[in-house]
Amino acid sequence: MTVSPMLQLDQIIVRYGAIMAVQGVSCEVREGEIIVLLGANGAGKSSLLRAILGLTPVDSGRVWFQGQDVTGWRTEALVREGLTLTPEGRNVFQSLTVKENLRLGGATMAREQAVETLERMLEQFPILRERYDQLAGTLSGGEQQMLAIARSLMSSPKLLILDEPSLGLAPVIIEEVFSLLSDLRDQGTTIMLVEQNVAQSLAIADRAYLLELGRIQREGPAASFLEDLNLHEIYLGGEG
Amino acid sequence: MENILQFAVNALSLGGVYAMLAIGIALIYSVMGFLNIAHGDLLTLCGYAMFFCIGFGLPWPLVIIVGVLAAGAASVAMEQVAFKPLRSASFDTLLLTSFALSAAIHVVLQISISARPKPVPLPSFLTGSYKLGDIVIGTGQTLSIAVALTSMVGLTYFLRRTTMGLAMQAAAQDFDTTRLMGIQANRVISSAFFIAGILAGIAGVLIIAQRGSVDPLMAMNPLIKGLIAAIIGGTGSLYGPVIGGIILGVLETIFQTVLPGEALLFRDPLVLSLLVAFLLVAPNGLTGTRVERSR
Repeated sequence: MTVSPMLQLDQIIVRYGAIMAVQGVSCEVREGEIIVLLGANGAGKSSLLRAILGLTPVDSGRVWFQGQDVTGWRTEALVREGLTLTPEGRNVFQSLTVKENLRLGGATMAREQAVETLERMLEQFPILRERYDQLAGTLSGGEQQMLAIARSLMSSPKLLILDEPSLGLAPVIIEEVFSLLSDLRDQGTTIMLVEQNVAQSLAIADRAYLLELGRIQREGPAASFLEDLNLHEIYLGGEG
Repeated sequence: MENILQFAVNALSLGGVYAMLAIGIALIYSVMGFLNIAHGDLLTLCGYAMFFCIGFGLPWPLVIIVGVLAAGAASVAMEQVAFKPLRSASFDTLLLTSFALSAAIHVVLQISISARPKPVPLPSFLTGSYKLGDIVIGTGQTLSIAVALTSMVGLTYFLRRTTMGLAMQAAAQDFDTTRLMGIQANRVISSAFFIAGILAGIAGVLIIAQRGSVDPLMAMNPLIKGLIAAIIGGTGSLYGPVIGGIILGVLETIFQTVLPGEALLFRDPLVLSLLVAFLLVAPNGLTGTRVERSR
């Protein structure tokens, strides 16, 4: 029996006017793994993620989620199916409290299940319990990132996509975030990670893709990516 | 003492009505990112709905309820017909569309009903007065204050305690991220228009009770006052438009009281000049306007 991948992208093209931001990307995420999509600024990472989630229209190509063609689905419907994105940067709702942010994260869940998930989140993120009634805008950068992740987890996603969770965080906090992601994978959440932080994301990932100028340039097990010094040079060159 | 009380009642009742219009305008602005010029016409539509209900001989509580609901429904319909097809358009496009919509509503009302005012006789207790000691206070004014207060308490509860209310605040900050919570964008937008419409309808009943009639162009003055209240208050929070409305009500009442009879004509220009001066000092209003937006 062949199991279809959790997420499969087939020749995705995304255009903004005359600019082709994503130029035919194919990749897949299998159940229970962490994959990392590496790429410098402007490589098309965010455009690709927005297209997967239906926030930007897919120009051509197909998105398959759990064996179902979900190309062109509305964002809201995808989230209800178990696909979610923790957006780049500190996209928590600043003028709402931690509690209210988490409540919105669980907006699609039945009340009992939301209460139960909330309790689990507060166990997993004790800092959020401490800051429960504080406005999200008053949290530190690392705390806001934790809140953003916890808020995504409130909908009990099958696949969690994260756009640069380490952006702008102190090294010690980044380590905390990555170890959390690796724990989440062990608890059964499939994760697709988009990062510029090469070494640390490869260390927790199972497989990796390198996106450059809107195309996948290389793919393979995370371990072999790490060994490939050449890649590191190419990558840093692109970033400069 | 008496004068102060009378003054306060007049200023607050006027301010409360402006505030309800301003909240609606600010709510649409913060969720959708544009000023809806056709918002004032919801008052007019509320007035015509009441005019027809009275014609059908409905009892007045029903007349008022239908009037308010008609404004809410008209607001949602405006969004569906005119703004929804332009969901991703720029501020300018949406602003111009709302001007066009407003003009279209005026013309349709003028042709299909009449350009002349139609009477909307509401029960006398809405326009009467009572005595508190030696002071005569308008029932309409008192009721305006009570209704405005109740509406604002209700709205605060809705925004802070219900999931849809929180989603509306979230959408005002970051619409895409709100959709990533699985919250349906269309429902948030429709709810915002509905609430803005209901508040305009309530303001409409209070304004029409005072004038006793409705005509196609009656909303111009209230619309401008509502816009100004929203702008001086700032759209950054619910309190902004409320404070803006009250400031406007107080200023108008002051000029109404102190200006000699022949100078009353200058009341509005004077109030407006003061506001222009204020905006020169604080261009974002009192509570600030959110400039950063992502849609």
